[in-house]
Amino acid sequence: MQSDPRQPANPALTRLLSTWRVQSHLPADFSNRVWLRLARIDGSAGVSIADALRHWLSDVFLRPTWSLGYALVLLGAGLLGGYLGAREQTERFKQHMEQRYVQSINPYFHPR
Amino acid sequence: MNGSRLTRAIAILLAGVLLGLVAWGGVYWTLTAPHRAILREHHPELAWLQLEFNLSPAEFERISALHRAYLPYCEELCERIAAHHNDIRHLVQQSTELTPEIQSLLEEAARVRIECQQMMLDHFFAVSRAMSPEQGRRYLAWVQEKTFHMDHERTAPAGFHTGHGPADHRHHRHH
Repeated sequence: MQSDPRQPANPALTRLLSTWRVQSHLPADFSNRVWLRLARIDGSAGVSIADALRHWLSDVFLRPTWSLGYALVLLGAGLLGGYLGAREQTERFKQHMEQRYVQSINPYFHPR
Repeated sequence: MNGSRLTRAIAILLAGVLLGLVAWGGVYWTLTAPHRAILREHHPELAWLQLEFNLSPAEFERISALHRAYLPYCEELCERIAAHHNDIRHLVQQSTELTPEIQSLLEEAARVRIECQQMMLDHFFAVSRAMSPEQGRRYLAWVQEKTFHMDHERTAPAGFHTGHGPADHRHHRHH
């Protein structure tokens, strides 16, 4: 039959254990670091959107691969947008010039 | 947070946007440069014709000369059409039936219309002959579709049209 571990089996050993002290040196800024971590934990519950955005910006845009990809995407979008805009403008220009030419040679022609 | 890190991140963000805008503007400006060059010409519609039908300088000169020679006749017809239009409208407003005067003016307007179409066709053939055969055929098909189709779609016969008449044909812009 096993003895109950919560009951002191040996009073002498119990007394000896109660006198034991850990002889260990903590780092110099241990206390400071503990308080800083506590402060961060407290603050994380109420992080503002602006702070989150700042963190995200710094996190994403300072990574070379991400910033390069971002630049390439915007470059591509700009090139494509310029091409499509110019194509649309070319079509409008062609219609305008067709109308001008026809208007110049047809006495009956007039815009509605 | 480190402020300089954030500043660098924002600088990269803005530089990317600027890069996109510059790319957009550069491509758009380059591809539309010929349009601006055409609009700076004395007769932009002729400059456009040269580009559209790939005319050589000699062809362009011949067609420009034909165009310049044609314009006074075109303008004269335009004025006659406008005068007929006004006369017909005036008489119709004052009458309650088809009078001999109105009938006479309508017949005269029809004759002017035939004359106008003959003159235009003659000019179109002359212009098409001044081009290479292939471009000439393309020009004829295009200009007939544009002029006679628009004539039918946009104006009433012999200028008998309420609201806007052939007088709106703005010769002063092109002649």
